[in-house]
Amino acid sequence: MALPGIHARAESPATNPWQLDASHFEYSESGKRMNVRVNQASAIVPIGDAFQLKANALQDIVSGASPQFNSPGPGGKPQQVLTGASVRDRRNAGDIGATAMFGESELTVRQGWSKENDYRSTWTSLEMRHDLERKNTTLAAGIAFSDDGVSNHDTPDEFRTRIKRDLFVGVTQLLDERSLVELSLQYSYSTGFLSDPYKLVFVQSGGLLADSRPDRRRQTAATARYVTFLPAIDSALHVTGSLSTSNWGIRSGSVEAQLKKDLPGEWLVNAGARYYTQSSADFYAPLFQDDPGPTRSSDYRLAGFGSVAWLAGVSKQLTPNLSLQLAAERSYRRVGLRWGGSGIEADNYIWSLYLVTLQARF
Amino acid sequence: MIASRRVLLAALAAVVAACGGCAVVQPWERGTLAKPSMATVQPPHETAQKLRTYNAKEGGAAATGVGGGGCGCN
Repeated sequence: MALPGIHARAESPATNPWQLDASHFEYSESGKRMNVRVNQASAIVPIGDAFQLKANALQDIVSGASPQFNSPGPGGKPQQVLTGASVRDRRNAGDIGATAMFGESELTVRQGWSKENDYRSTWTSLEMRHDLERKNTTLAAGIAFSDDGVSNHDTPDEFRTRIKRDLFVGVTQLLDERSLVELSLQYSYSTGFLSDPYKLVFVQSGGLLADSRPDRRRQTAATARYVTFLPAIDSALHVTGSLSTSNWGIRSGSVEAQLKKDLPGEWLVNAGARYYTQSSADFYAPLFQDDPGPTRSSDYRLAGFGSVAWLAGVSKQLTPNLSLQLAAERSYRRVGLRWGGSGIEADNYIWSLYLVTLQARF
Repeated sequence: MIASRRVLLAALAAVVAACGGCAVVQPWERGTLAKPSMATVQPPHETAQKLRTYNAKEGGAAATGVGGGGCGCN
């Protein structure tokens, strides 16, 4: 969320400017696993002072190997079996939207699409924001509905339905001349085919079975952010914490802290760290002794684990209309940092991401 | 689940109630808040790609807003 008007650069040419963003994103994992490359472009076109049209388009290419299941290794210790480096998929996605500003309020509606060989998604969202007390307080709320279809390479024409609904509320409050706090709550309810069609589980007494998850998922999350300016080091401290629960049994928590510093010449640099931890899903096990019944998964994302990441970025205002941003993050996943439940050493890995964005404002 | 949700709602209510006592910051007192380093909104592509990465690689959730679609598999 934003408190309108307090983050705009003094050089912004207009209160409701044309906005063009173009970016390139690179993601990679250790162990010759997944690589993702994304090119994205978006535009905001003002119509008068109180209306905006928005458009966004991206294409990503995913390649590499992905964990498929665990098998017993030497001494019965679980070891990962990968798909091989044959996975390659291209995704095209986009959305259009409109924002109307009236008085102290703002209403945005968006419609989006995403398509790849084995996954289709159509989504709609409605968001609103309302300022109180001369923008000392901002209230935000949003709802979204996503209608997805899931297939796999073996049955490419059979799409199974997955529906997701999201509800979001939040408040941003100025605390004093140099600090503010945000608190947000989100509830998500998913139904339908929620399993991963490419994942398998190893059952000692029965061999390989398909990943099979409950057909309903409820997630509740709370996120708080505190931002304050520290005159002693002439920098801003951003601290963000999140907690979530779900009916699948996964509890998660995260804390991120960043220092951001303005430098002469309209440079902005930031550096920080993020800690994440989660417990495993109720139906997760690295290996199963016997058939566990209708719900089962060995997906590494449903295991108990934690991660520590560092993140950094730099931004430069090149001209009054043009800025360039670079961002990087590197995350180290470790089973020993889990909140609870089970996980395995074989799932430890490192991922890195890099992003370069060019922004224009007219 | 229900207990957790009640705790979260109680936390939100507590913050909102506590902010009733916050001092009103006048527009001319917002010079520090207007610094680029204080902005709470990140470049939209950076926010979207980071959240997509977290959603694809973690089983938990965060209250980060609505909208967006696609698999995020593998």
